[in-house]
Amino acid sequence: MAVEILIVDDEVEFAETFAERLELRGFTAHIAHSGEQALQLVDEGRAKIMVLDLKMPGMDGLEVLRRVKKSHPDIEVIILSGHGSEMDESFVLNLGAFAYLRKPADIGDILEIVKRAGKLLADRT
Amino acid sequence: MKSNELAFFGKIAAGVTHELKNILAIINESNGLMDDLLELLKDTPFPHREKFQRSVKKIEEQIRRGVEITSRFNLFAHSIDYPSADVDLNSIVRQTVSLTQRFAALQNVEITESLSDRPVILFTSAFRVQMALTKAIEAFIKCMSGSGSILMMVRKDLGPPCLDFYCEGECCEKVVKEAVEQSDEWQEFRELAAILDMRHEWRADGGFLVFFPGVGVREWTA
Repeated sequence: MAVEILIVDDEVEFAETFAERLELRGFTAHIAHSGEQALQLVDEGRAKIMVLDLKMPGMDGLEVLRRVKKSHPDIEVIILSGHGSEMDESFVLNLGAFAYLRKPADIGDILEIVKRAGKLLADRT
Repeated sequence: MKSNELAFFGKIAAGVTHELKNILAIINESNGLMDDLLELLKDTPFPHREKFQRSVKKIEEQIRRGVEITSRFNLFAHSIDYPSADVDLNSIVRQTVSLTQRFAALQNVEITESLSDRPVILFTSAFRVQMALTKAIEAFIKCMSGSGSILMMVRKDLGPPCLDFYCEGECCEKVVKEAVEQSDEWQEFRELAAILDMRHEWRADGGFLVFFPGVGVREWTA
């Protein structure tokens, strides 16, 4: 079964094109354009791996990360953000994020991390 | 400029660079999707395939260039965040070289760096140090004619952390102390150096040294 990836990003064009590229590579991609929508999709079981932006209107990525790691610690969260410093990176990793990437990221680098997260999920089951 | 005005400028500039990165990310994904589709169609006859592939590569290179510039500018904007903070002299030099390369290239001068293999931590205003070094570079360039280069070398072998300026090339002989010291840019450099407690001196061979205050200097430990 294809790994389900939830892309959480308020940049609609980015999220849709990125989802299309993941689907071309055999993944099942879901999209949420807000933190609230992301949590709803998580509760519906639509994500094993989440690719999460940090700065979004309303509930931001940090809050989404905190809540997801509390309610669904088995979901691996990859931060993909244009905002951020080295301090932010160590902060989100301490909150339980699987990895931190800066936008724009190379699809090869993202897939490498998704692969590692997928392996971790498979090892757990 | 007052410190709150400077902080306001930094905040807005940092926000703009973040937005530019988002735009670059969208272009990157759209370009990547075109590349993916070209790859999928590699066995199907496709008119002007090579032209499309070349365009995709050109866009990719320009995105990389755009990311590099916006990242540098973002760091520069954030250098205003704190009046003084721990900062690596290597980062300041790398940042200054990156931001002054364009101005220098317009005068046919190349700016390069030689960094220390270990962090050299200063407690200072990164923004003001960058401004002071830029003013010094501008003063050197103003007194050069023809092509040449300026090498900024981070040194730790002369006591306090130090930056060594080497001017090379056909312009070198024309970078004379007297001419440099008469420029307005040099006066601004001197004022900033005094505020930042940066000592500076000319070497006998025409080179120039800037020493950073020893107080607060320490090594970053892993």
